[in-house]
Amino acid sequence: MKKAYIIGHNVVSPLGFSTEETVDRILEGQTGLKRDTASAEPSCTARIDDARLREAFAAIADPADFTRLEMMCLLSMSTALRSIPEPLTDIQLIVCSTKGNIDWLGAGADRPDDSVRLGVFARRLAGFFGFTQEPLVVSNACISGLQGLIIGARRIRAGRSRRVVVVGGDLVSAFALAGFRSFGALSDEFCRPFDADRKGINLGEAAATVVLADEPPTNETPRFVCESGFVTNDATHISAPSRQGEGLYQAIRRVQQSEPEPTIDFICAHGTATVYNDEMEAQAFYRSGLDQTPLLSLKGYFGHTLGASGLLETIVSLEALRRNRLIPSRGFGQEGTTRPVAVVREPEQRPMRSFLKTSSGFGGCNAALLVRQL
Amino acid sequence: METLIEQLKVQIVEQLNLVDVNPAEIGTDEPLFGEGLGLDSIDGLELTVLLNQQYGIKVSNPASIREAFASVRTLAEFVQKNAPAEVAA
Amino acid sequence: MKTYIQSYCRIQDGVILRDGEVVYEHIGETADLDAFLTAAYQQAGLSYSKFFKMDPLCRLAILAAEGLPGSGSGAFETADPVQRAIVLGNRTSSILSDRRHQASLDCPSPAVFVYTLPSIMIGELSIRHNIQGENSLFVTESFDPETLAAYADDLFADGLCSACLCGWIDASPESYEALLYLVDTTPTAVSRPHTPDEIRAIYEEHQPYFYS
Repeated sequence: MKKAYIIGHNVVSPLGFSTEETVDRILEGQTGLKRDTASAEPSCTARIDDARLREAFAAIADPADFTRLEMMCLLSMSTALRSIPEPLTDIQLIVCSTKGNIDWLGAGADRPDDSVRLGVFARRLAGFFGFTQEPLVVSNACISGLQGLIIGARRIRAGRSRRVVVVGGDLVSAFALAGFRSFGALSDEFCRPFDADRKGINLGEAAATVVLADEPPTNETPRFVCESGFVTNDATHISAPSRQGEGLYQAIRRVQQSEPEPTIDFICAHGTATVYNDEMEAQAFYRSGLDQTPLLSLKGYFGHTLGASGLLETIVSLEALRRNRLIPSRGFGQEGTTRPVAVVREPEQRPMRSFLKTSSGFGGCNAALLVRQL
Repeated sequence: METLIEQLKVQIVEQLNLVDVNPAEIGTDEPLFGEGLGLDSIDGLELTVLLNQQYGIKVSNPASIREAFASVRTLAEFVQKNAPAEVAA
Repeated sequence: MKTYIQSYCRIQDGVILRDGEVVYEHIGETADLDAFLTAAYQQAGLSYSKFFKMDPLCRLAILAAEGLPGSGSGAFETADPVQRAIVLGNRTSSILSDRRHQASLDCPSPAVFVYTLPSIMIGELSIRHNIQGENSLFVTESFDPETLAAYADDLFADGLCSACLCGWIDASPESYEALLYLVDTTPTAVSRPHTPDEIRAIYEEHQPYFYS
């Protein structure tokens, strides 16, 4: 089996337009979340500065020709692709999103609805760089980004592709805000993953790109690989997770069984800060024997970025791994799950070589992936 | 109170799209969640939408009024106690 | 590793075909998706009250899957639920529910919002048929049997499933269609090879029935 090397990555987030800048801000204690004073119902969201996005995008193309999400994704891809030599043919592009250009839905005649179709969106991303292969578009709720990465890594490991680019993106939209609000899932304060007083999610937006290849870059050490990843379904309810975290537990168990070296130095959990999600995840981690493993959620820095979250949070965790820095789980004060988990409260420097990333989503889906430094 | 109870049964069937349920057959003291009518968490959220739309009652935290949702009778009692406008008794 | 289509269901224009035989033909306006789905459900004698809470896309998926998991070699039934997989393709995502939700943003309904993801089809099918394994949904501009077949075959080759429910399900204001089929690794007297050409063939079977 080949190895799926991570040879390039980038995030476009409210905290920065590069992975390095974003993680610098996180380690300085900053968050991308802000209280939203514009609307009648208070909420906290993590939005990308529009002017900064347009200015940065103008360096690669005309903002007038692309949607907001396309600008975010293309900017992210453009930076990440600097890691691979031309030509950019024979690249499998995987695009991950829950709602794509949802801000164009019913927006009027000058914004035709076909842009809302994910297939159209993905082709525009692929076309921009001249990729000749048809992109694979993954839309599986909030695990989309992580699942895209797992699928890409499997293609490389099985020798089906030599280079895969995985990009994920989602917007903060009135559509999503209204929807999560109707679920009572939105918190009007900064979210508090795994905390006893957590009251729900904050929404965020981001784009993130990972470039995978079957060979490591010639110059760089250390080297990082995507190891095994699995996707499961709770098969119990379309919007509530299994109380025993059954699906997530099965995914994690498969990762553990596939790896001859089972050590996990930290967990970057899904940690959305709803009562049910975090409780379920803690159950799954406990059942997997991971209740003592340092655990963090990045939702306190980015909010929940839906289809981008799995990719964004994996990249940030990778950079933390490279720096041997444990990132504190922002928003956590006091244990708040039936099975306690080892939430990281303070930043810490420690030698680390691997992390487990998990995601879960509406529809009962779950995903788990191990990333390792060689 | 009886009129409110019958009214609620009709509204519950409509709001929750319980196509194969006859409002007259819902037991007034039958459990709404779990067994009985077998409603789930999304139905619970829709009931809070119903309370807001039909009776002007805003529920910020559905979990806090779990007892009110035990049966149609407890729901009717909750509505009588909390509805700002006059409600058919 | 050779894979086989055990059974399949095709739905379009008010007609439901199972393994090539017409099992339901709607009387009345076939473009009225709600009416068609309700009538087909009743004719099938199903007793699944969750059906009426679902949006049309999920109801279409549930109807298309009826009878498939129990068919063929029995691999699906005997498999550990975590070895049952589902792979779906779709074009317009959850556009029917999206538009409904978009039209009511000032008074949103959680029962509508929950269906604004095409992958909720996976959720509903997983609950009904206890599918706990690999699950994925790919969005393409047109029906893409190559992608569906390759991805499902990769799951079998990697040992990630022993039975897989696969298909293409789409419902938009303009049209609706479904093709769902069960795949596993055991040939039977009636199974067909699981290849893009065979999938295309069952998709195009009985085209005269479909007049759109």
